[in-house]
Amino acid sequence: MSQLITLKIEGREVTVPDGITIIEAATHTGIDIPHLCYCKGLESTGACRLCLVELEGAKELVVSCRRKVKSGMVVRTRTDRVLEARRFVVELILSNHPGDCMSCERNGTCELQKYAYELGIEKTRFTVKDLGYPVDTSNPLIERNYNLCILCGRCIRICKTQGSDILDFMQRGMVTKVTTPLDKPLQEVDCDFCGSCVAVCPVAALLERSRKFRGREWELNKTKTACSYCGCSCDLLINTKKGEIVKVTTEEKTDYLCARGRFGWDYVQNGERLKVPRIKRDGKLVECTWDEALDYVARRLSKIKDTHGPHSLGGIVSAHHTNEVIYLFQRFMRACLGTNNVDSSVRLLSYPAVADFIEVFGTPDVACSLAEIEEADTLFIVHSDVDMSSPFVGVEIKRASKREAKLVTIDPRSTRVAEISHLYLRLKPGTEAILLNGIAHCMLEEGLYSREFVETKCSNMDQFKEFLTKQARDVERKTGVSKESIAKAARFYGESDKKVVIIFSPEASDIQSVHAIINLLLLTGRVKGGVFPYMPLCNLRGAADMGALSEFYPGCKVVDDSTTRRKLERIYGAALPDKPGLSSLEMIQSGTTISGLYILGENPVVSFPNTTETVKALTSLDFLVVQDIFLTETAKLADVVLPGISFAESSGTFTNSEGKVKVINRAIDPLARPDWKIIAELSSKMGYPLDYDSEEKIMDEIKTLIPAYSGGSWDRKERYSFIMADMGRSYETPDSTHPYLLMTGPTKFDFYDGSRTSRSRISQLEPFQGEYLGINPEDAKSLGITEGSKVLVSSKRGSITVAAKIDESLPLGLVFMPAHFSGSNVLTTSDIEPTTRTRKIQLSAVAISQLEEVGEVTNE
Amino acid sequence: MIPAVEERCAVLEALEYFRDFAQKEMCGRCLPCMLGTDRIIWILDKITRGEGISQDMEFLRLISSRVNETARCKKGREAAQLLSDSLSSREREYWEHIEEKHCPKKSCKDLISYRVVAERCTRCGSCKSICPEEAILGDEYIPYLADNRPYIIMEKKCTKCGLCLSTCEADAIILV
Ligand code: SF4
Ligand code: SF4
Ligand code: SF4
Ligand code: SF4
Ligand code: SF4
Ligand code: SF4
Ligand code: FES
Repeated sequence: MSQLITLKIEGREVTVPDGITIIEAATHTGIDIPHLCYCKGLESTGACRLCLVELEGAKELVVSCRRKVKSGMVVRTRTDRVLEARRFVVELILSNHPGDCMSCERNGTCELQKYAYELGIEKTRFTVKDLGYPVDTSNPLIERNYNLCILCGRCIRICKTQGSDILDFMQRGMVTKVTTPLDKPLQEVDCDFCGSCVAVCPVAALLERSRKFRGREWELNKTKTACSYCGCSCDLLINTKKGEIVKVTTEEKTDYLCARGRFGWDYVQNGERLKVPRIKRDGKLVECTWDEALDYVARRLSKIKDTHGPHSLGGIVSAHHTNEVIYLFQRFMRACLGTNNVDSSVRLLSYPAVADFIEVFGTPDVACSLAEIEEADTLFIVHSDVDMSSPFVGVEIKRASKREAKLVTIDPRSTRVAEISHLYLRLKPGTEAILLNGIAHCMLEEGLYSREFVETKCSNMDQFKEFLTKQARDVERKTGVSKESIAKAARFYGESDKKVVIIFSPEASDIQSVHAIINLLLLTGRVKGGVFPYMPLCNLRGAADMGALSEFYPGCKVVDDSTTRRKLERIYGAALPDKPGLSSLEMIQSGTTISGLYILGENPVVSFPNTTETVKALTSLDFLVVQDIFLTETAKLADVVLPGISFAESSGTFTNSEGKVKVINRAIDPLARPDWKIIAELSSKMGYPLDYDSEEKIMDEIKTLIPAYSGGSWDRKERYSFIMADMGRSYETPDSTHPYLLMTGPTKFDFYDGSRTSRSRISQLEPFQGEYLGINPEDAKSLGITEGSKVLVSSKRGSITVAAKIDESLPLGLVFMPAHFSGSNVLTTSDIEPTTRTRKIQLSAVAISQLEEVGEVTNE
Repeated sequence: MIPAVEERCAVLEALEYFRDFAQKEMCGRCLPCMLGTDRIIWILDKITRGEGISQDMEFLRLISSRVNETARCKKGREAAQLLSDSLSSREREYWEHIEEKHCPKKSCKDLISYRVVAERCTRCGSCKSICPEEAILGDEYIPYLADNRPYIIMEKKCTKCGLCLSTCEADAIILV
């Protein structure tokens, strides 16, 4: 877009795009102009004056991080005058810097130290002043020592763009200081603990506490891999010293990681890690050898297969495993055990979206890229808990909004995203589908849709019109959103020449709202790059692609498709079952036909709805084998526990929310046995050898089955149909005995079933140890509840006691519980929706009563 | 602006100017000006207290000229320029503070002391009775009594409030 211009830097002719700064132009040519306040990826402020250069024809020195290049400019970066000025700045900074490089963690990578060295400053001539600020070590993750701060302001700027915007300069005596509101510790001012500030700090003022005295920069090994928490699967570098993880960083300083990615890795080397298999003997899990364990599992599974048939066996794999592990697991289940009863976390977390995408578009690969979110003109955000679920998506939304993109948010909770939105539709809980249909209806009425696309590409417009007219009755009353707001939203979405992306949570969305979102895409012809489902688990996309769903083979081919089956049978050298198997929810419910279950990495006791039923079903199995890295709530119920490995020990790939294949590299030696090897050995013991000598070999096989994994693309449909269904409510209707609706979901510092995060320091940042009931202040008041009151929450399934947490973002009548809290699913219902065979009910009706007198606050 | 009137002590004047500048004008948005101002104030303050060392002159010159070169805005540069000017036009005064621990304008509290000139003292005793610190020793003059002591000011106790000086009708208390 921008023109090229030519200028001279240090006597060298350089040609660069117009509009960039001198410092950027210099970097282009490999000349490093010293800089402290400037940081690539952040706005420059011109504060430190270190980047001064001489311009031919200019009397004064100019600041190269702000001055734009001009054609014909002659820049000198190392004249005596320039060096003198720089030396002065560095000496002045050092005069307020009572640090001792000797045992400083930044020694070797410190930017102040680097420039002092380059400018030949042995020691500042000025007397060094000690500012005497106390060092803040009050949170478990970040140490703040403002005595070392050089006031570059980078942390302030990055916290604005990718943190919670809580830092600023404050006048403190003569010299300013970086502070938080009222100078409170980070954990009291809603810090996200994204650690972005630590990453950009040029000195040791902000540090990861985990690295203190555990290795100097040049002793650290950096392994590039990807985060295994949410579906963004952010790139990260695991820094190790002698096999111990010291910290996690990013390639570029300003690359984003959330608290989980940057600080949530310490579970990996937690002492509770399982290293040796265990077998249940006399009701107790006791350690045994690998051979004993695997022989026993092989024997038990074979016996069940022989006596009850292959379909009495089932397998569930968690989508935080690599594609290679998941793929092998499904091959083992289908080809060795002979059943399609293989399923995964996809069922509960993203199945409606996957199924709809495949039905309507013929491919699961519909999401736009994360970069496209940042570039959009308008963002439609349905379920705005994105800051908790997929924080990087939240950052992209914020960046888009900085760029003046319009945000429209649909959520009953007034979250951070809702608060910065241009249009916030605060609808009644559970009425998303009705509202989205109302918007579509309004678009039809006002002609805000692509007639051309609909006429040429969609087959059932007339039916759809009828459907919408029916659905649009009483939208205002049902959703609690005014007609005007609906019309506004319709206009935002209907603007034809704008790039609009719908961002939604497949986890929180019921089937009908996914239908409604897809219909909106079709109405406007935004079938490419128009939607971003943010996956709550890193490899949900991959797990579906790999065939970890009971109705799909690898490549999302339905199991009743005989061509694929024959091809697979040839490769697998085994006959494959041709009927869809049971979904994970169906496998674990009362009256299940499963006798033997193999669970890999999933923790249904916490992550599946209706805990009481889940535990009952699991304990009534003939045989349960659980493969995991910790003795989870589910593993405790197992007959055999096989210790697997974490992402830091794994090699392989994840497929993230965007559909990008991310490479996972082993950063430390496996603490137990790689999961794919366990599966392969077990299979061999059962007479079906799976011979791979590495993860790559498994990937090679995947590539032959799924073209998109070998540089090809997915087959896509060219004609579409609107997708309609009226399935009634996706929430339990509240009544006088159970008047509140309970929503469960992710929180900032904990994750999914909590098995990993609860063994990481990040979980210490959760209020009430992550076990609480969020409630609107007015609801709390009418129940006589205050912050920290113990309350009894009950549903038709069961009841639990938790602390109450007043939460202003919740509307009246809606309460919230963290999903990772093992008590939350005691309350939820596991009613199954028959077409998708996943949970039908997103919001459960609960009753709340107070257990203690007001005032007895147990918030410690 | 530092007035050209040579009445006031140059060091004190510069110090007060920069304190005022830091309070009111300095924005804190560029490091050289902010840290430089802080450092200038620190050094000037030291000098007025008689703790200046000869290197301080060099530092002040260095800071003022470099801040003038590197600061972001005109305000910061002007302030630095004024110090440069004061340093060169009134250099002697600075040196007297540093080397002789003496304030020629007798404005720097820490560099002056109050003394009773015995020859002029009428031994009325009003200074002793007004001194809030009981820093003055001596007895009133009583004829024929031989052992009455003359008035003296004990430096250690004196806070340099100046009350005695303004009380003395005989102009017998002086600043040195
Ligand atoms: S922050 Fe940099 S300059 Fe300061 S002590 Fe550490 S390494 Fe040395
Ligand atoms: S950790 Fe993130 S949110 Fe917290 S202060 Fe640093 S940048 Fe801001
Ligand atoms: S804490 Fe670090 S990043 Fe923030 S202003 Fe100080 S030196 Fe710069
Ligand atoms: S946003 Fe998601 S992938 Fe990125 S660091 Fe956080 S949890 Fe990991
Ligand atoms: S006031 Fe003056 S004259 Fe009187 S005693 Fe004191 S010094 Fe002497
Ligand atoms: S200057 Fe004040 S303190 Fe000192 S001797 Fe005189 S009256 Fe007392
Ligand atoms: S890097 Fe340019 S002023 Fe700091």
